Amino acid sequence: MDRRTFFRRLTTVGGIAGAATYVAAAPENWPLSMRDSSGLRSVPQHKPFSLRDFRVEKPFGKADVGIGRQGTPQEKLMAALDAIGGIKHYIEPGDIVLLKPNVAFDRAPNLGATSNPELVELIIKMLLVDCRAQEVRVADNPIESPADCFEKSKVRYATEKGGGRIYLPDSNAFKMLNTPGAELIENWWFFQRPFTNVDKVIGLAPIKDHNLCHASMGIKNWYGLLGGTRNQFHQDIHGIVSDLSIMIRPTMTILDGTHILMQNGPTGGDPSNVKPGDAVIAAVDPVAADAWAFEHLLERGRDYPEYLYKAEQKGSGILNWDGRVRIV
Amino acid sequence: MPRWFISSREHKIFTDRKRKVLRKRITKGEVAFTIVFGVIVVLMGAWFFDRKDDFDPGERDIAVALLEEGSVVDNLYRTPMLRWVDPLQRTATGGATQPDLTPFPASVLDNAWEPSSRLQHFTKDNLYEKINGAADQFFQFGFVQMHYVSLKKTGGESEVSIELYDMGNLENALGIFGAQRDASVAVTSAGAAHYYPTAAGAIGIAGQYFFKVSGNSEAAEIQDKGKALATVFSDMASRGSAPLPTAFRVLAQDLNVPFDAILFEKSDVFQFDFATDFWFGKAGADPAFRYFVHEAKSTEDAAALYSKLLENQLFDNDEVSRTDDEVLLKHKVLNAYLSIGKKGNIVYGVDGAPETAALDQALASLRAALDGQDDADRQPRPEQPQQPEQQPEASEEPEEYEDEAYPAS
Repeated sequence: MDRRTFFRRLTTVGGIAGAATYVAAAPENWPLSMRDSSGLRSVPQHKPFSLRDFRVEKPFGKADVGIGRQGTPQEKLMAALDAIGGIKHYIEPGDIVLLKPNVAFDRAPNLGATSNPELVELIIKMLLVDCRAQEVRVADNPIESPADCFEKSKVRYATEKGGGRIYLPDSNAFKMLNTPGAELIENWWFFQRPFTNVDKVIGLAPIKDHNLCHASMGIKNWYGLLGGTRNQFHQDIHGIVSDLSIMIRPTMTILDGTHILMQNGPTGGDPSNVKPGDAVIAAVDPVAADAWAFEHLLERGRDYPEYLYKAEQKGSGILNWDGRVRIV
Repeated sequence: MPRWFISSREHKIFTDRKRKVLRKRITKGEVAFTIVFGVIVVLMGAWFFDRKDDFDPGERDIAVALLEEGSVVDNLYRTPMLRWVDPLQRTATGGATQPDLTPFPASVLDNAWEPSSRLQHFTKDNLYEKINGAADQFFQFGFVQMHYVSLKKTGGESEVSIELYDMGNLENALGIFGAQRDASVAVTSAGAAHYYPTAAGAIGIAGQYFFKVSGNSEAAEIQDKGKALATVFSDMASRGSAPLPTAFRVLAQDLNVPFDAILFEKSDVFQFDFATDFWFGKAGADPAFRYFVHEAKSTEDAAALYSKLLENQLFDNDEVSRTDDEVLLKHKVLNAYLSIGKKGNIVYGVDGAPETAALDQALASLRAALDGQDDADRQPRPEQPQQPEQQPEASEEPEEYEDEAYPAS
């Protein structure tokens, strides 16, 4: 190797080493510096996504809240849906529909803490057969082991029998959701995976007493889509439930008033706490539906939970259901 | 060798000729292929980058079993410090498989019931993971720990879930029991356990434990199992060494108030935030007519509480008579009588009496019961002994427990 070549190579190597040293060791505010002494630069930045509005305009002249009170649960469900315009108005052929039951606890269905599997199956069949939906997804992020909750509540069996598909949460299924106007969950982890390419969203909630917020119904049901350390929200339970009402704008909300957990909710444990009811509610206004159910099915009068007033203030619906309910 | 093959060997990159990359001719076909291939690679890279893990689950036929394997219990799960060992895999001495369900007694598995879930333990830090939404009520009553296990009837479909809440002491257990119990349901006693059977199990207390047994159906074998478990928990509680609270002894043993008519209120007693830890016992046919007893930490605390109670009760009541240690009040609207008294570190009284004769009689009984208590019993009770992590074997001699004299309801 001649002298000239040696110096050329030495300069090249020295230049590369010097540049690497600069990039690694230069103070963080210097140009091209990659130093991360605090560790903050390497914290993953999650870009929040926005959830679309799944609502569908109801047919002219139809009620905001339909209530079926006659016959079998299927007849009640049909009557309630017809009162708001029929399910075919809301679900189009080829739609991918997400059904969100309440499967929060690994409890048997007779304890009233979870959604009624009979209604789950009925709705799935209705969506697939009558509405010719492309796919019905059933998803929830339970408090306890998801697999156990779906199994014990018999929602898994009902879903598979009806022809739907269950989507259980996994660690990659959550994304940061941006909810403008939310007090507590403006940017929060959301069970997003099942919502991919979904066209319509239906909530199917039991009606039950709740130790903290007095009643768990249609709006509270969306709590099951949150991830992260969501238990901290119990410090402001009415704030979080009202946030849920703007986090998602569902196509419709269905309330199961055939089994009502009257006390010791939300977990229950004694079948005698579960009162047989005679109503199935379908609504495009979740606030009005919850208010009616609170008054007539939980039998708590018009001293509504604070979260319903807050949800109304946030524009999720109108609390006063007078003249907007059709009972069949 | 065919001409076209020789030609291709001459011109293609992928030939076995040496120094092929230095050739001077590259065919148009090769150039076109390279461009198309490069574009495809770039597009695939962009697609991968864009999609990341954001796939449409509907495009993938993922078996539920696979989803179960990948599923998580929210993001609250914490990796255990010790490797978990399936209780069913633990081998007892002699080679026989013996599930270890500590702190549940081994007798929970009688009559061919076997565990169908792993044994779980929850503290105040993670009770939310089990009963989110219902946990706060337990915290109000001094919750310590909860143990959970599911049992399944061998060869059958019946399954029961057992929630065993360690509430720290009898007061707290009775408090949460009273808060959750349907007052119209009669309470059954089985040794140290007091419970009411439900259509799908049993709910009750045994010593410092509050238990809830709930089955997946209303089958007779599940109801029987609920009752059997109550007896098991009674035995478990009998091994505890915590003395019964003075107030409870006064109400249950001296005044013969039935167990299901005794209530412990932890906070906001009489709707006053300063009034906590009061025992109530039914004193007559009217549910509002009841004794109340509070055991303060010291005589000074009792005197302070007495003064504060009296001061606040005078907003709603008129004073009828007063001695140094007792006062009789009459409600301004309801016309019911209320008596408040203090004796040592005890604040006591009778509430909701319809007329003075009934109140006097109840008050006399209460005074006599308090007088009958040994002075030592009325001293501030020492701290509850720490519950041992390991329950003693069933063969060990159980310690004496003073609830043998519990009145059967």
